[in-house]
Amino acid sequence: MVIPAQPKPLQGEPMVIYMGPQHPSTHGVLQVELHTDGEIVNRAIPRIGFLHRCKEKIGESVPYDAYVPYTDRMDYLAAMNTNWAWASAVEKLAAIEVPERAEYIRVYVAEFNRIASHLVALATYGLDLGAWTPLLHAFRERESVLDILEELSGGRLCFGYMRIGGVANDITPRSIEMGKAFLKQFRAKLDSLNELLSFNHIFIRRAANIGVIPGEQAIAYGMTGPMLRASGVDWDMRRDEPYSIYPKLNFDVPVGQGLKGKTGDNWDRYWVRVQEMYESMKILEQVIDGLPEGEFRAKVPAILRPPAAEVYCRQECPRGEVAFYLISDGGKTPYRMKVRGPSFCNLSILETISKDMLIADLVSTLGSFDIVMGEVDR
Amino acid sequence: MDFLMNAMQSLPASMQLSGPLAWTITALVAAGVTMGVVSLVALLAVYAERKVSADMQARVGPMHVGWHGILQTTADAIKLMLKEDLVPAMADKWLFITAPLLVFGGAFIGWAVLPLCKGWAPVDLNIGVVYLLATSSLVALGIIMAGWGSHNKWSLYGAMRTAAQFLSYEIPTALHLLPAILLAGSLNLTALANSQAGGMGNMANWAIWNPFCFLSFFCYFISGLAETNRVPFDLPESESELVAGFHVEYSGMRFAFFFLAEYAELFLVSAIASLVFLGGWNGPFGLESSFLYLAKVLVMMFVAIWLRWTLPRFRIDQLMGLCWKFLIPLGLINILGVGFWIYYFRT
Amino acid sequence: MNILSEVWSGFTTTLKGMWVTGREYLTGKPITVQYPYTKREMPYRFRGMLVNDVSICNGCTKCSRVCPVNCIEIEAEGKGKERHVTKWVLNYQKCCWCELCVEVCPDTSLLMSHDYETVFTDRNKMIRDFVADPIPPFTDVNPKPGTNPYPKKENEGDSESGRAAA
Repeated sequence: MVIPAQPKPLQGEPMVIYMGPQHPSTHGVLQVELHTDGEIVNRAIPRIGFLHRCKEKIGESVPYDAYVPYTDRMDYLAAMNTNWAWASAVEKLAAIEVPERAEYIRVYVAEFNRIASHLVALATYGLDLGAWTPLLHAFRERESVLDILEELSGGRLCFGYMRIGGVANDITPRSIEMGKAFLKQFRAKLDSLNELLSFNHIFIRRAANIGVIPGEQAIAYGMTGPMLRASGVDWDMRRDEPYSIYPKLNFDVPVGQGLKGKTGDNWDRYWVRVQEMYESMKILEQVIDGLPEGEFRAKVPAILRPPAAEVYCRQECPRGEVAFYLISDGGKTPYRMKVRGPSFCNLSILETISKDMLIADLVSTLGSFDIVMGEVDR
Repeated sequence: MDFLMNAMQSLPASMQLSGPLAWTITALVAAGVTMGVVSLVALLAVYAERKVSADMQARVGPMHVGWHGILQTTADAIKLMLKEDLVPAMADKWLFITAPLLVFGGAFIGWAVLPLCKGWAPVDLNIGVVYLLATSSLVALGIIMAGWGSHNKWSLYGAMRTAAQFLSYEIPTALHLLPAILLAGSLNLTALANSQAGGMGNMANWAIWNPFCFLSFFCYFISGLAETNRVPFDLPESESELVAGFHVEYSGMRFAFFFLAEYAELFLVSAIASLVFLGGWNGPFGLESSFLYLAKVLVMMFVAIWLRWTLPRFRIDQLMGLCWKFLIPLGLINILGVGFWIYYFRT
Repeated sequence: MNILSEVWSGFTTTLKGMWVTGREYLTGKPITVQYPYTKREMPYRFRGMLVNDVSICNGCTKCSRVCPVNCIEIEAEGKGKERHVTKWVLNYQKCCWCELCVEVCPDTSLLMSHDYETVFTDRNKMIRDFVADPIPPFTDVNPKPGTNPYPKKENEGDSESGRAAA
């Protein structure tokens, strides 16, 4: 007797859906593979590499000073900071003394760029949650920051302003005026942005208690920058491993306290960035007051041949620590270079914390990471 | 405006027709006029939305087509009509094609009972409110069809969200209209507005001054926004999560239908709110004018636009929570309260 | 009554947000520049299209050596003061507007103009030989990097300070 095959009981299976690389809220060409059960995401796997441009290999074939434009295109929202990280790595390798005025100018542009970068971060985070107006209000402020940086460097996004041993151009009186005018009105604008978005109840409910990253986990995944500080870890390179003129400046390091939910949730990450902008303003006011006279660029040989050595130099950028690992064999190009991008390390935790989230929460969490794909893929 | 309507009503008589033919002609003309008004309202609403949002965001908005870009939406409509008619290869063609028509139709047939000016509606139905609530469900059906028929996972999510959202928010929409209907004792929209005439300054009898109706007015407006897919309730099409939700695959004229339907529905919701709660054409100082009615509708639409450009989006469970934990219980309490109110103050 | 307090705080914060947007609606000024009709004033150091005055250029090839993307191709002949370029090709497709070449240029021949409307109708036109196809004299150029763009008077117009200051 033949037993007829039993019909299989009706059962569902997870739906695999590819979010990106053309998706409005993946912040570039990131692809996230979602295994979903209805609206619930069982697993989210970030897939990267769509913007890979062989930056590290190129670094081994161009002279040290000619690599500055390439660092612009890594973290394109904070080009000044990345430029500076590269310049300081080469200066450390070749033991070049940077004039004090150059250091002041560097802090001036880097902190302005930090404000610009954080403005984009919080604006796009609002956009991820469906709020349009904060985006344009933040971009209006960012435009005035970019005007100041353009006055100095001539570029609006890819500045290419840092040089080995200093900066390309001296600071102009007009840019200081513009900076002062900006700082005067920015605090009020930031406050009204807080009223519009940060403390909106719908926004808090969409951001707080979601994507919680405990401090130990954050350290274990090598997270840095605002993401690490939002998890309650008090670590800022500018204060704890000081470089440039930061020891002379007086500023606080905001740490996530879980004001609206648990420490290390999306709202904390957002709020740490907002507070960092207030701190950057404090730094900038001190820099404008204390700008010394002097050279803006050290005398560096036209073709730089640093001694054979290796160096690892890291700096606090808006997204975390950008580090350059350089090996020189005495030639005019590095023998080996390696970039540590903060967005890459920060993104690595997405798969771990996105279990059993709603799709909307995944978008919210990814938005709070503030990744720049140009730096993830390099 | 009133003159136009009177002329239209006397049209068959002036053409010396009677019987079914006259009835048909009147109906067709009324439908044509309503269609024209809907299109005009949608075009102007889109323009207003662009301009208002631009002013809120330190932009200027459309500027080049016509005076301050007033013809921009017309130009866009022409562009959308001229675009290639695309149906995805794997789509369920039948559903895909009929869905936009159903959505637009659902929004459009609601206008049949809507008084367009003082005391005149294309069809003066005695159960107008019930009819409106019934037809608005067609929109939900159309959106679910669009999401399913597109054969796209994102639009499927949009469709599923629509199903949950629309079915939930149908209930508070109806519940929060009931207190005012209880007060007026009629389901006819014209009668509802007329029942609020009189009183001090022609405003004292507005339903909104009743404390229960006052709450109901806001709750109805919130539910109405949820039914029209406006931010903060635009989950079915939330562009940052589902790309464009149920209309991911739509382009050209089919997309324009969804777009038109959204604004037609927004006008519908605003018009019902102003008729049922804000006295319709009854206004201050004893005024009674169609323009007053129109002004109220426009103010409500402005508030909807204002909200859209202020708020972030809800999450699906928060949306459901707002509906089932707050709006529906409050609606029931309001109905009970108005019942007692009528019992104690009217009798 | 958790839900009531949440609805209340949602309501109040919404009103606050509407206050911000409403204030912006009534008093805010647009910052939009209607681009093709009105153009913004370019700052001194704006890095536009790279231009070379081949009558000054002596073909030292410093620029092509420093270029990170190798977009400059030079051929020159003659010795000493006689030296002049016979071919100076710039590939605009590759150029990344970094201004490193301008910085190393020993003369004032290579400069960045303030021209940002870099639209080409033909891909071949993007590879330009400045000897065969010399540019019209540019007055609106970027000052040489490292120089003070405000030579004497601080609020002097930016177009004159370019080549003169450099």
